[in-house]
Amino acid sequence: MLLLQTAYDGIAIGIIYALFAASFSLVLGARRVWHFAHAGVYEVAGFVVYVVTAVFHLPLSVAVLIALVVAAALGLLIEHGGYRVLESRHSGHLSSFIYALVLTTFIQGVLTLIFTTSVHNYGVPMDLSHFHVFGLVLTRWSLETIVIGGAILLAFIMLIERTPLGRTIIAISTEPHLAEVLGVNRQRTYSIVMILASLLVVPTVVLLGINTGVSAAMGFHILLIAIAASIIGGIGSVRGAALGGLLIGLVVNMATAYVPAQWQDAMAFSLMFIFIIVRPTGLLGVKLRSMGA
Amino acid sequence: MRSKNRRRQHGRVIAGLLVLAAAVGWGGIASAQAGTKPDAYQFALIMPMTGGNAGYGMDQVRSALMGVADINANGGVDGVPLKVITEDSQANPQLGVSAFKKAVSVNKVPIVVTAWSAVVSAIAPFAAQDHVLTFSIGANNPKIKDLKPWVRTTFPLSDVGITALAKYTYTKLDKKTAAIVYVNNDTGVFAARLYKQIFEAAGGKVVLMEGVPQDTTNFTSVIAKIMSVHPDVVHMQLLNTGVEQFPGEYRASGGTALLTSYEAAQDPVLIKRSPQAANGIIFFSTAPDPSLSKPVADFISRWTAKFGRAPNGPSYCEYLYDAPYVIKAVIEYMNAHDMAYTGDNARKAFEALGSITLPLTGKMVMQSDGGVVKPVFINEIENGKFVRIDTVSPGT
Repeated sequence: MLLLQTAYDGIAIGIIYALFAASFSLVLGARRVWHFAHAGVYEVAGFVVYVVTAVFHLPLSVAVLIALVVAAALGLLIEHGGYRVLESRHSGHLSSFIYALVLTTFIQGVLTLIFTTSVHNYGVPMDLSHFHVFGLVLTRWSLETIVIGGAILLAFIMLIERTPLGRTIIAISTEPHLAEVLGVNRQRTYSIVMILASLLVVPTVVLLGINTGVSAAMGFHILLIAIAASIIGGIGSVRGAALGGLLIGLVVNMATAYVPAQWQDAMAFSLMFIFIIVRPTGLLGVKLRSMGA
Repeated sequence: MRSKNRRRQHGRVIAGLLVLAAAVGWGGIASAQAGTKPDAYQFALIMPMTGGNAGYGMDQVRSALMGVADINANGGVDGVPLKVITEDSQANPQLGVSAFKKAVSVNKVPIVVTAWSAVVSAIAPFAAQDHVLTFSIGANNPKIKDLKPWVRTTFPLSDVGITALAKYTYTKLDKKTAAIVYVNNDTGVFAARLYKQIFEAAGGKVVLMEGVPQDTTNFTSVIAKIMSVHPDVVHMQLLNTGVEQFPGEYRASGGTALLTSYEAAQDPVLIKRSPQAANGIIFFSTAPDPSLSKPVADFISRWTAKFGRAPNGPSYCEYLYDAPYVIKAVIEYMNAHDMAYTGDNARKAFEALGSITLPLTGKMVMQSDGGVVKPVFINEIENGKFVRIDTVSPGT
């Protein structure tokens, strides 16, 4: 029963990881940059929700709407003010890598100055309700995360894989110059990719933050998980990254049934090392070197 | 030949200057030893002022500053004001050491006050190296006793409270099985082992011990393990953010066992986060509450009036308010014995004092093992209030 319970809980946290990893992987695939600044967008969105709900005492729905606008705007700013400028100068992967790393550190620094590094809870009371199903305890939070998060994740994957917009993004991801010759507006697609990825951090940070609160340092942990998930799932594959995130949540949580919880992070990265050595293409993706990694 | 003479001449001049400088320096030291009073007696206060523990740390800093202000308003220490240099440790050992080094090398403080077990342990070798008397006030790892003579605690370490609580939980609360969730650092590991040892010696059984990293805010997997072993009580030996978070997640998962903890549960944020989950938590403290002491009642009401809310962790705040009074007693002893304000002399003075009566926490008697023994107050969170339910005398 413990194994089943940890598996169920693992799915809930895995959905959170999958949402973030999928959005991270979308930028990685299309833009071919390790978009570390995604952690900064995630943190900013989290604090927008905190300020709107806990400081201004407005409903969560209003906070989510504002966070969506702010996250999309920040994503666009990062694209136009950074990646596009670097690309126009033919600066290469390393410059984008450093830009993204420095930017997320900067965002974290600013948030720390404003909010300190303390944990801040949303102005939403913690819901203690739960249900017993076949001996399993299903908390309201985990149910909402699985249902809402899972639905958003599926919709996102469908959008990428089944719509003309998604096919355009895939075209840009696989053969950017050929796609451009065939009439795809590459820069416009990059902007759309950045908006979509940034929008997706909002449900991620809302679902997790309701349970654990938000802090200025929270982005790095989920970013590391997303990197591991991208490698496990296959670099550049949105579906693969989502699968990788889900797998990390599931395996790590189930493993803690047998080993102390303090080993959780080590287990997540052990999984990544195993994939790098045994299956470098990941579950569904391409080889590491093809991404300039 | 000429240049050789010139070099000799330069050598004599330099030697003469060195002798002169040494004489002036010696004279300065001699005059300090003769009791020339400084403009202020400086000490450093190294606490988490930002970070996950800042909610507690800042309130302790505010309390210590109130203590300094009260001492200075009443003529300072033998007519000289106390001056406190505040530094931020973020409860991080590395940052704590940096802050310590800065306070000692830049501000030349001979006395430091700090807390958080991991920070105190990290600072200890440097305190010994630089001969700085370092007071650990609030850190609770019993190993801190072993860091003497340069690190001294004026705060009862967790062996005092943990021993009392573990015995009390088994004998008075009639809980036979326990699970312990602890932070995997100096604050948690030793206290968790001690709880297990005392609880099992009393006749109980610890059915699960689970360590978590310091910054954990998601306890899902730990809770699943706890639920699978059905303990009567879950003892939380976590840092503040953990104690604020764990009860809500545990109750949301259907956990019904009694929750216990240490002073970290004396936290208004815990109640605000989830009043329903906080209700019924039992924790120990080693400082008197307002109902037991008028000075404490006055302190809490002054604090509340000044900052617009009650302090986080009032027990810690009481000890931190008293911290400058410990330093005052040490300096007064040094002045009475014509000793200069140095770390070596401060250490000798503190050891010679043996006991100090403090305004809020009462008489503090140093034990031969380096610890401090105080009565242990058993408290419960009842409808959003911290209520004392029992007092355990030392040694019982």
